[in-house]
Amino acid sequence: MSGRPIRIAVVSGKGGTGKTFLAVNLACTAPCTLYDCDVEEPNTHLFFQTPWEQIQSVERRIPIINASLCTLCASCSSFCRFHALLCSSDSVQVFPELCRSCGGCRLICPNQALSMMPEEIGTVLKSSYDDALTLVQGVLKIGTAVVPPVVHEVLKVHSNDEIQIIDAPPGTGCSVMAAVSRADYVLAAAEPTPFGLHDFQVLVKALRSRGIPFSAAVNKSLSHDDSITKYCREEGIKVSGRIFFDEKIMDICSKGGIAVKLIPEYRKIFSNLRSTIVEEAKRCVL
Amino acid sequence: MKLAFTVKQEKLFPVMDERFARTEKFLIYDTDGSRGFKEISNKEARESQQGAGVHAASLMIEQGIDCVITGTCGPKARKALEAAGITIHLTAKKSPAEALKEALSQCQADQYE
Repeated sequence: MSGRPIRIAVVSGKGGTGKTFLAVNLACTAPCTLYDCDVEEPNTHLFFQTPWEQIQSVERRIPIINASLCTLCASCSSFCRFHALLCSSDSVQVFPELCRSCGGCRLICPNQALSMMPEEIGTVLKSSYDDALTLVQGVLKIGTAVVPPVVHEVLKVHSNDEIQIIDAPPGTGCSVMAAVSRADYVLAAAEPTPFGLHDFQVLVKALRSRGIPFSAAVNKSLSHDDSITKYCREEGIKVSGRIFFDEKIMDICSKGGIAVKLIPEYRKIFSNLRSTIVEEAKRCVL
Repeated sequence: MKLAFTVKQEKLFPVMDERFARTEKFLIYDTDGSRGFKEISNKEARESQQGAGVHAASLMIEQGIDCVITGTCGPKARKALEAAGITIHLTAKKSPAEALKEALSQCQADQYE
């Protein structure tokens, strides 16, 4: 035993693969903390009818210009690689939607004409379920285009639970990379469809480029030799789990039910999957 | 007056590119100076993931452009160009020469108003 908590992120290239289904059911087999990092459309709360408490507001900082100090030297606008600032003949325009809040413009300004103003971009909520589960969720403020800071704040919420499960956003973008950057191990969910395979291949590339240890879970599998399994064999990726396509699951999920609590057979499947990935994750952490 | 046209290369001749921010290049025409066209690339703005409009607008400011002639212009580019006092002339014309004629007659009409 390492003693320190182990964080496992459930990720998938394609949306609708079953990340939340896998994450919620993995979380419900034994005590743990479940982080919902899909801050653009968090949905784990649909499975748990519990009251949520807002524990934190997430802010970012965007520059404002003090026109009386600005000499229109264009140092800030030529420094900003995201073109969030534009210097014209009589003013400096700020484009908050392009700003990454690095604060470089403020540092580079020779006249201290810039200051950084806080702007709310999201909130972090907390709840618990059945005494066994701690739930943490991030919600992005509508209209905000910058997602990773909210994901990072969600994952900064401390938990003493030995096992912590992250329900990541879909895809392979910045918000997903933010979620996996704070994980010890990734469970890459995939479904054996042409889209599912394509997006899984992109995800594998992204995870490998960051050197993040991962294994695959095939969801909605139709056979032991489907497209995802074949690809994993060719690429030497371990398949840690397989959930076969089952109409019962669809029915339960569509009603906000938790499969492991309703079907004993699934409780066994998910307990096994959980111990397999926890073992693998521990091996990677040590 | 310095005019900038958004253009793309089609076989031998440049034709109007309907997009401002992600245009292939700009054709610059100075009504006061030598009556030739100058070309500048928009590669950097075109290939940037975000902020192409502001990037292209800053290029226009650098070049001292008075009027941009293009097909469409996004909200950020518009804000940037307007802040810099650059006129935006939207056109549906395919050839820069025709767009130029249209823009010039428009300018003259504006002057006499």
